[in-house]
Amino acid sequence: MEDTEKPLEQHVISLLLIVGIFIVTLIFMTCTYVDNNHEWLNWTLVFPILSVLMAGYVFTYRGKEQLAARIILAVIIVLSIVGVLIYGAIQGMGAAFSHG
Amino acid sequence: MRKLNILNKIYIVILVAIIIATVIKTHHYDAGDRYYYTASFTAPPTYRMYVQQSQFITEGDGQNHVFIKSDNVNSGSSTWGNGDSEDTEEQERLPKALVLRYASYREKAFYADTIPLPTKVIDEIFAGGIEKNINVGIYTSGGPELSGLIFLIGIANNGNIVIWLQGRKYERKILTYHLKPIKPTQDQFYESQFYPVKTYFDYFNIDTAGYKKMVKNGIDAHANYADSATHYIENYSDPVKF
Repeated sequence: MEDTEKPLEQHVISLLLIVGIFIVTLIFMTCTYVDNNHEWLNWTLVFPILSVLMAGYVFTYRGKEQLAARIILAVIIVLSIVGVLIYGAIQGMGAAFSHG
Repeated sequence: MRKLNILNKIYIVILVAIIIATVIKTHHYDAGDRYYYTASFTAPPTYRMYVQQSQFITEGDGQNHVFIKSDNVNSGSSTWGNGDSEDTEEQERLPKALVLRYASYREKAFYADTIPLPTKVIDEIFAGGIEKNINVGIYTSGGPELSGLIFLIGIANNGNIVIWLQGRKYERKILTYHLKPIKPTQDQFYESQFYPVKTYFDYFNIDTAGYKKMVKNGIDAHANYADSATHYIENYSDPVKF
């Protein structure tokens, strides 16, 4: 059966696994009830998780065809940092407005 | 099967680990439903009460408690039928019992008991809360407003306890309960200290002369606050949105 199919390239398998891990992670985060604070935290964690996975990909396949992956990685890292900063700001504001 | 490189093996391990974690998480999650709710007390101003201990025991195997504040009753600023607005940030399992210990100044009596709550009724009301649009916004410190219901616990005279569930244009009396006074032998708690039972009521932070006069004049002497309604629905108005 496998003889008739064109074998998958390793990096394609990696990409599929990245997508798979990402989807399963989202399911893991939302499979039980999430309150508002944790919902924010989850969305903040999405990009850092993606960037770690993409970093593994980029550093493993150093071919010339992987330029797109590097650009995506760079964008995701920037988004992670922005996300964490926004989350920090929101939490900070929450702490500032709370009346202990 | 084709050979996989190290990266793909790592990815597969991560994938499998997360799937297992998801299964464990869903399996172990306390299966019961959780809701946002708050609770507060109300007492008639003519019958000063001091709540010494107040907490819900919530459903589930663990001995989980939700503490209930009673500042308004303890300071004497409570009027019958009006609770205090409390805040919450966490969803909790619904309560199955109320642990209550209080002293009644006018009756010079102590009451203490663990009151079982009608869990079926409470479950049903909470489960239909969003559908029936009876949930109200519950204030949280520094977070978005949460949608839930409010327990109002009335401490009436003669050891009568009334518990209502309140929401948006919604109120339901879920329990009336009668407590018998207890005769404590140990020192009793008031404000920040323990006082002997004999002299306990002398330490009440209260306008003694005014209170004596009121009692002498027989104000509310024959009242039965447990039968008295709250007028919550009549006075309900949706909060103004900015």
